Amino acid sequence: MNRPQQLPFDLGHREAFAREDLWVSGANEAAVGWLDKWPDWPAPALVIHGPAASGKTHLSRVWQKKSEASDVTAENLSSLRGLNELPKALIIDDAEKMAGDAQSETALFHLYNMQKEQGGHMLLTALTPPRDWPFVLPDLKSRLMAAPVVAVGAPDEQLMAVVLTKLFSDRQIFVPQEVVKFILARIERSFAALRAIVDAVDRKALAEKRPVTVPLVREVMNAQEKLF
Amino acid sequence: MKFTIDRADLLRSLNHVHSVVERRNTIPILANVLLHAADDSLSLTTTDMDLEIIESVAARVGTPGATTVPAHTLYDIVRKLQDGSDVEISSNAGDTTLTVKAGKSTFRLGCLPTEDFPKMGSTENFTYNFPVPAGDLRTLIDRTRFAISNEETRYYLNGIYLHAAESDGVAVLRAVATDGHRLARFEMPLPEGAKDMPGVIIPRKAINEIRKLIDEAGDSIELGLTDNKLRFSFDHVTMTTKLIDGTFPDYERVIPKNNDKFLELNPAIFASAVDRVSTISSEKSRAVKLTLGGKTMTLSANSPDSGSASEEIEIQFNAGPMEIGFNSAYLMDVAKQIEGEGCRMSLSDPASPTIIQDLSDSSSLYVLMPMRV
Repeated sequence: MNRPQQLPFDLGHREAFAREDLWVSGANEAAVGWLDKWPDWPAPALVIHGPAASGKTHLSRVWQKKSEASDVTAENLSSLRGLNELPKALIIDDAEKMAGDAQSETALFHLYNMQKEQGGHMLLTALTPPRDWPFVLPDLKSRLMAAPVVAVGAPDEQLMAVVLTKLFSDRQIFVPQEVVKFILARIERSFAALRAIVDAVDRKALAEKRPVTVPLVREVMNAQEKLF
Repeated sequence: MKFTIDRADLLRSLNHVHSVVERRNTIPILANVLLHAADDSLSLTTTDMDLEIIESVAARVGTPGATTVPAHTLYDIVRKLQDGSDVEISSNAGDTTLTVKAGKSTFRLGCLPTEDFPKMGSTENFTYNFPVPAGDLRTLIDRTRFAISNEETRYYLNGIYLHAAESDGVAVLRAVATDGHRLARFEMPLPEGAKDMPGVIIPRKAINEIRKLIDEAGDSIELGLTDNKLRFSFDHVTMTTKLIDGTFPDYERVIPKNNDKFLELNPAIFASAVDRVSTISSEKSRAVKLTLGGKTMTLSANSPDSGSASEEIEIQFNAGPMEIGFNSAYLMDVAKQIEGEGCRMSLSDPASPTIIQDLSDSSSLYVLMPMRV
């Protein structure tokens, strides 16, 4: 029999998604510059691309706060197309997934034209730049190729440390520097991995009423390794 | 400074103020009590920089003045003096030595200058002021403080969250404490003047100190609030505490709204059964398993080291068979709070929070997270 385990409450925490919580480093500097410049964009669309978990969503959420943008997903794409009036700001995450499908591309093209007409904007995020997307609609391709395209890089060491500390501080947990160093030396370089480890560490510390220390983090990381 | 005071009066006041002083202090002045004699009254002040108590008591003052002496030592001296005696306290010219005389005993204590004694500013203006009946404040603390977290890194859980809220359309003053495993909530009618108060987290030490004093308080305790301080005052006592600078979690999210399995039982019978059965459960986990079915609950525990135990009690349960585990200490803590003869547990499943309420008292609510057994 396993040792009985106390389950903790899911007390939640407030994630700081404000502009001032966005740490600007070499990896995202250009993208932040574009978002700060809004609504003075030269085209109705802006494309931000970069590897998975490089902070594209954080950037689009920051812009969403500023612009009150609505999310466009594969599910609501066609219904948006039917509207006579669109929200002035739209966010399309994983935009490259819509390319290659004639129906989605037509809908996207339609949204682009409507935003152009009404002076609105759309922010597209993707893993790759538009030149690599498998377009079937030449008109959409030429529009998006002409829009400003900005890359975000994988987080550098400094950004990883700042984000890790921020994620703990979102949960009102002060972590000693050695814990930050311990995690960074052993973790995949992505925000997703940081978020997952902070969540697991927070939960274990709460369940076992322990402070966040290197031994606790080591236990969490060992348990995760066993899972995969 | 020179004054004479009844030993019982001095002992009572020192008893109130000395426990604020930590036993170990890196700053010497914090080990001291500030004595200030003037106008037929002695005022005693102690502080740990986060919490300050000032109490005044009648004394026959010969020469007004002030000084500071080690609080615990003075308390121990006065405690051991003969009951009914008069205590004569005087300081020398430079206030460097304090002499305590009673009967044939004489004590001399080293003093530290009053200028070094930190002030918490209990005289400043408090934005929100409202009275709370002493009895209500006592119940508020008793019903919630057992759930305060002792884990220091969760500083925002190391106290009772006090805030104005609405409960079924009625304005209430609500107190909540949680350690991440269990939660206690108590509410009372919102006192006049508290409507716009911000939610504040009152540190555990202040809660424990004010709780000791409440029993001697009159009818009502006046609360004063600023952004970062809370003051309790009554009779001749003023206690000021800093508040915990943190955000209390959105506790509402862990109070389930749709639990549909209801269990009613007698809390006293339940608590003693839990107590007996948990004798066997391992020291570390203290888990007991509740097996629910029809009109019986079987409590059981087993430990690889010491064996096993089980006991049956009568219950009323509106759902099918179910098993759920809890920390026995948490169950007993909650059962102890329930004064009525019946309590209701609202359950969902063995991995979700369970609500426990006194059937005869809706002012308190307790939530427990189960254990995986």
